[in-house]
Amino acid sequence: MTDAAVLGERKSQGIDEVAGRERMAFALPLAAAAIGAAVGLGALFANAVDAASLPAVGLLAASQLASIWMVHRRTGTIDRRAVALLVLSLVAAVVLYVAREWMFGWNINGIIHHSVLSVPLLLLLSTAIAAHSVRVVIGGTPSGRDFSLYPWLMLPILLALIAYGMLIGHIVASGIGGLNVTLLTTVGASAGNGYTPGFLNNILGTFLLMSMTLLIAFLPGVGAGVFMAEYPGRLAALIDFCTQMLRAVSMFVIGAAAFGLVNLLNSAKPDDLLSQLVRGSYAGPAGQVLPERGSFLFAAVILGLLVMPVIAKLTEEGLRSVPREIREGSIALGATEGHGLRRILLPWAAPNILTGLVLAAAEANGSLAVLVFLGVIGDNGVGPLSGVTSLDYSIFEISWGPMQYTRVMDQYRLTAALVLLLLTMGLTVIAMLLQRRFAKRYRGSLTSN
Amino acid sequence: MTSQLSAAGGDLTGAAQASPELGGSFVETTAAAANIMETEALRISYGKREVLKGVWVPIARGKVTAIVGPSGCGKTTLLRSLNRLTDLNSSCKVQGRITLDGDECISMDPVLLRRRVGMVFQKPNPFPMSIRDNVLYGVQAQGMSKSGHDEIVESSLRKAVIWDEVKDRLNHSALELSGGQQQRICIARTLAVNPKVVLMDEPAGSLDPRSTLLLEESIMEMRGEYTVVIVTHDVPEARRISDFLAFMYEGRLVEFGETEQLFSAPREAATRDYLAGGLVTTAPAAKEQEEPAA
Repeated sequence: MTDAAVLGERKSQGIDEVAGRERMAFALPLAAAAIGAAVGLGALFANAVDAASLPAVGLLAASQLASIWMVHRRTGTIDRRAVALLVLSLVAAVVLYVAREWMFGWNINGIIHHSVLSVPLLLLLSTAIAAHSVRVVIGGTPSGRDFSLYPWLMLPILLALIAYGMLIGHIVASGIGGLNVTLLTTVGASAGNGYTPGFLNNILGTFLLMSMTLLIAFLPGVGAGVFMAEYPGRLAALIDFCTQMLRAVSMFVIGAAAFGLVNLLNSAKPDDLLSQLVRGSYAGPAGQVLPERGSFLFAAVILGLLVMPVIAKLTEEGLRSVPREIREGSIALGATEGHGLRRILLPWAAPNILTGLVLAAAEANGSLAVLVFLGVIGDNGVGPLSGVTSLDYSIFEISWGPMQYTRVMDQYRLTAALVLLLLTMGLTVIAMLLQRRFAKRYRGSLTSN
Repeated sequence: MTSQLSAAGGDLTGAAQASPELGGSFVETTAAAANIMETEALRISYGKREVLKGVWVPIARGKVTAIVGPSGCGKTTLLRSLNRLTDLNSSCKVQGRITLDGDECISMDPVLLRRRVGMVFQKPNPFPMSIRDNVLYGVQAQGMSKSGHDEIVESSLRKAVIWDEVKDRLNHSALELSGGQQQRICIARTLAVNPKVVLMDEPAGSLDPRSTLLLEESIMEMRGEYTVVIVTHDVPEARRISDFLAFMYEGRLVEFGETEQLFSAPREAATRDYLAGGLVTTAPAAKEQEEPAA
């Protein structure tokens, strides 16, 4: 298509149609830039810096060239500013490459590589060129200026996606090798001087801990949320303040406090019922009852306290999002507050409450800060009064546990991470589907409000 | 078309306003129970802003009473005070008396009051549930009979003139309906619990002409069996559907009487201007509406 034809076409079409195609056109260079950045940063992780950083830089430069070419094709001019930016970025990359020993001589070998600086720099410049190109192509119209924001908005999203992709890619790539059915269905056990690997109890423990935590936190959480939303006043403000404070306290501090409590109970009255409930126990080889460091029940109570504010806050938000007209409609029909809450308000808030539960479950899964103090490997069984364990904890134990264990299990660290990742993803997907269902059923629409 | 009783109720305030010296006890005259509800010296303020400045208004049993007046005159507040929806706003302060069949509304359990005085809102507000569940919501909320639900659903929907349109999809979501249909579902929902009084706050405010017509038809259906109090901006509509008319201006009841009488022979210039569809050029004197001397 000739330039004149393009311009004529632009005049005859609405800006939206043209803009849609322009967006497609410069998404390509931006995608190339993203791939370049991924290759460059990925190389760092894969210890293949020297092999991959040059292609990365090349791809980024190519994306800039593509932008310039796109502008040329659309307008028939070479965009001097874009060329200047391209030259500038190539010079910068070369300078960084040449000067890296001088700049980072103390740790240049593999730790800080020039691509750490040059890839982000080139990505930034690529984005600048893409944004500039959009302006040139679409012109100085208001929507043209709007679209030139688009590459800048995309940049952080792309970077975040790349970072996520690399992390998850690393877990999958390193963990999948150790994954097999036996590992997942075997209870790990000491075997003479060695150790038989198995994650069954850690997986069961993860589920048990998560469900017990949610069970304990659900009613108080929803109750507190209802109270804060429906009975605003000093007391509600106080509860809100306390729950916020509880959120702000490091989980590690709570874990340390829990640990202190277990020790206190153990040293004072080791055979007391309370002490047994809190610390948990297992049957020794001779059938004797031996103490653990903390039971599932105790850990679930601690975690329940920690996640309760999340459920409360989301319940409150959900209730506050009920339209006033619907609330009044219920009241005007002579319904009591309880009836309205049961039939209208809580169903309306159900998607939010579900979000609260998902977040709470995620926190229970990432409960390591507490389990560091209370957890055990899980050889001795899983149950409300057994020693608490989880996949999360097993990853910690593989890294820092006793030699006999780590020697065998070291290769499975990321396998455990992968299993945890898959479990969490599965649960999250189920929760999202449920949320859509709830929103459609109880609010009459897919979008909230 | 007006019965003797309601005519008496209607005349009362007008007479009291026009010539307080005529005398006659307000309480005595209304003791005949022509009026199902009454307000006496009703003052309502939000914070420091006084919205109603002493209003006496009778609501005749089984009749349609329309409240008209320019925006901000306090008509919606007056309506919402009749079933104490004003309670929901913590800054709202109500003084004076409101009675329902002689019972003091202010000291009644608000839930019980609202079971006798229902409300239809300006914006259709069906619940996000099926048509059937919408209609039965109040019935279930009030713990009324567990049986005969089908009959309640059908008769309520018939009274709201929407039965034929929805009878084949009672289990569909009420949100699938058009605005006008939703509003009639809301009326059916209100009628299902058999209130004595139905309050309507500009129920046709967001409806197209055809839906408005059907809505008016259902209000006509309700006349006699229910007492209707309707706030509206639409003066011709007020004339079409109401038996009694109250004209309010800046927090005061300027004139009250039988609708036709108010249209044909208004006492106040402001009433005449407003009902003629014009601006109120001569604001009525901001005199207190005095309780008739005993």
